[in-house]
Amino acid sequence: MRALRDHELLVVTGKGGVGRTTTTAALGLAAAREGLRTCVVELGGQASLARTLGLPDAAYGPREVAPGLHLMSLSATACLGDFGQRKLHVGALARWFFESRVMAGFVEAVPGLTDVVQLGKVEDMLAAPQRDDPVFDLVVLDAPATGHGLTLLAAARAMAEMTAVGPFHDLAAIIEGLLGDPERTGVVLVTLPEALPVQESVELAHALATDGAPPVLTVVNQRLPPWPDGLDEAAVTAALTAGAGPDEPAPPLLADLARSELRRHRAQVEALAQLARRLPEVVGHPVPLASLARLADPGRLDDLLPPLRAHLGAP
Amino acid sequence: MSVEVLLCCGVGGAGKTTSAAALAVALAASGRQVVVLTIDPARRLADALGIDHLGNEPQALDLPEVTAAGGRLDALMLDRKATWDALVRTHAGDADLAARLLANPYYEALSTRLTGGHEYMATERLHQLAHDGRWDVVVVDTPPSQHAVDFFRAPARIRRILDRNLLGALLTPSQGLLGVATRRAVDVVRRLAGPKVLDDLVHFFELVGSLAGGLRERSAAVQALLQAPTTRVLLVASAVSPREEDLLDFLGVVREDGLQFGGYLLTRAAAPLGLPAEALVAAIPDGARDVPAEAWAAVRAALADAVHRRARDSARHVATAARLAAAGRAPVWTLPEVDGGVADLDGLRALVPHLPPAPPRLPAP
Repeated sequence: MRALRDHELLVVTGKGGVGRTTTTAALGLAAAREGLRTCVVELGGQASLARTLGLPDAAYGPREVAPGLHLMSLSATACLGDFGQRKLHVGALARWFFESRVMAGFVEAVPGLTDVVQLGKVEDMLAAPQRDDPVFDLVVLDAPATGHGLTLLAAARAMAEMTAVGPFHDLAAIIEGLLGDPERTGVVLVTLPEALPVQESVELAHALATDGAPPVLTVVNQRLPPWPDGLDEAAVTAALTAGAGPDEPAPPLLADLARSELRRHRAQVEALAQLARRLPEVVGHPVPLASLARLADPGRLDDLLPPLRAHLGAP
Repeated sequence: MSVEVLLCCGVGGAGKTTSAAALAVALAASGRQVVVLTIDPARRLADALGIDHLGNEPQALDLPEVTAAGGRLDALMLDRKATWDALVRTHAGDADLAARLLANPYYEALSTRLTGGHEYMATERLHQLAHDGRWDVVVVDTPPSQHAVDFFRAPARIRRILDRNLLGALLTPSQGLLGVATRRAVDVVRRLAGPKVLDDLVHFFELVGSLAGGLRERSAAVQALLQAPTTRVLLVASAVSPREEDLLDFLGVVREDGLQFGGYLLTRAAAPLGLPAEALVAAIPDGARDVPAEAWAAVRAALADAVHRRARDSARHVATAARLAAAGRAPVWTLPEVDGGVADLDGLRALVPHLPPAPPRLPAP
């Protein structure tokens, strides 16, 4: 399998709420630290990634957010205008046209068109950067959750079938050349160490593998700190209560917390075992795994980088 | 109409599916006749609810607490494509027209992938369940989305496409009637998309024209159901990282659209500690008899981490709940975090005592 760092595009997906955007930002920072000229990209005019990286709003053009790391917040309208200008040479008319009612109606009615134009922009950044734009070794894409993520990855194929000929058809074929090539594109699957997210991740990995894009990395977010073997509820409760006076409120509270932590820890161990067992089954081979600790402070992305850098640094 | 409808809205990952399922269990266990429409639950939850992934039909779930209360609980998973096809068959009038529509390549794309199509079919299925007669409460989980309001905005988008036919300009044969600017735009679209898409589209709209009236009436009925006084919207949000502006914006949209807001459900909430975090951390013994020092150090670290996390998370959601309650003049329910996540019936049952005792009835704002 190709090394993580040798891909041109990493597509980050997973169940809603598992931390895709945080993972995208951390992966981008880690890649930049490893010396790759990197761009992190979010779609649909969102500003979540921008905010995660400390910027107040979204902007279309690449902005350097850390040494070696750029950010782009794409929107379908901006990408369409861009596409029209460069591929159709409609020139100054482009903006007027792409904001017209006819075009708005068309974009609204054709499934996947917004996905395709935005992916087209990503492909263009990699394959044919504009004269004034930075050159990137790696783009990390903050893709939508599960179902929408799959739709995004399949959008170009569907568009190619729907159109048969024409510029959109050609664009779809170019995108498929990027997304459909495991040497160029890798999917990063984000999950939590809990039963349902793990189960959904296994189902998603199965769907991805069926579509010919098995995940190249699994990221487990919000790992709890380790709990020593052999210390069960009774042992911990006894230790917490030993020596404390009968009316002290802290020991029972701490015992409750310990019980709850122990339960979560067991659930985590079980979920991770499930992931380790099922993922290779549905994908057909082992998938590398990076574990990220639960952040005490959401702003401290640096704490997440070491495990990601280890994977990106590997040849 | 006496059927009550509860819509669980929220962004992806907020806990909509779990909340909808727990709400359905709670209501059925209080003696109501309940059906819950879920959107793509993970397999284990689907199994817990007795839902066959292949079926678009409600399946009865046999729970002792429901039977004892004289209630009823059915669950189903939305099948977007099957619901579209059924809608077309119902309104097509004759089988031949239906068959031609179902075979149209553009229809295939529209019914499986068009943005908003999932939401439109959820409202359509809701309408069928509400008029079925077997249930007096319908609980609806909504498709995952980036914004909670997408659920209400999406059906209008589909209606615009089917109804007002914004593509009219593209499809009008007599282009002499169009302005120069529009003609130019039409030309560019033709060049961009190629003839196949346009042929499929023209054909689709020719076919759909004869059932447009039926679809229009139908979507008016669905809209009326959403705005009925017996329908309430619940906004589900994660207590760990709620974006308050988004939650308040949502409330604005709900009221603007003439819907009844039932309140907020904050999921995965950490229980308050009851003592200052520092005092608790200080009370963790330095060592423990019969426990190796290294192991106890790990326990200490894990416990201290848990104390700080719990203190931070509970303070955050208590403040959020207070601000939401004040700003929205709407009730806020807090569902506790279930250790290890909710994955089965017992997990759902653990949430039941924290849910509203009956579908919330609120006076109009």
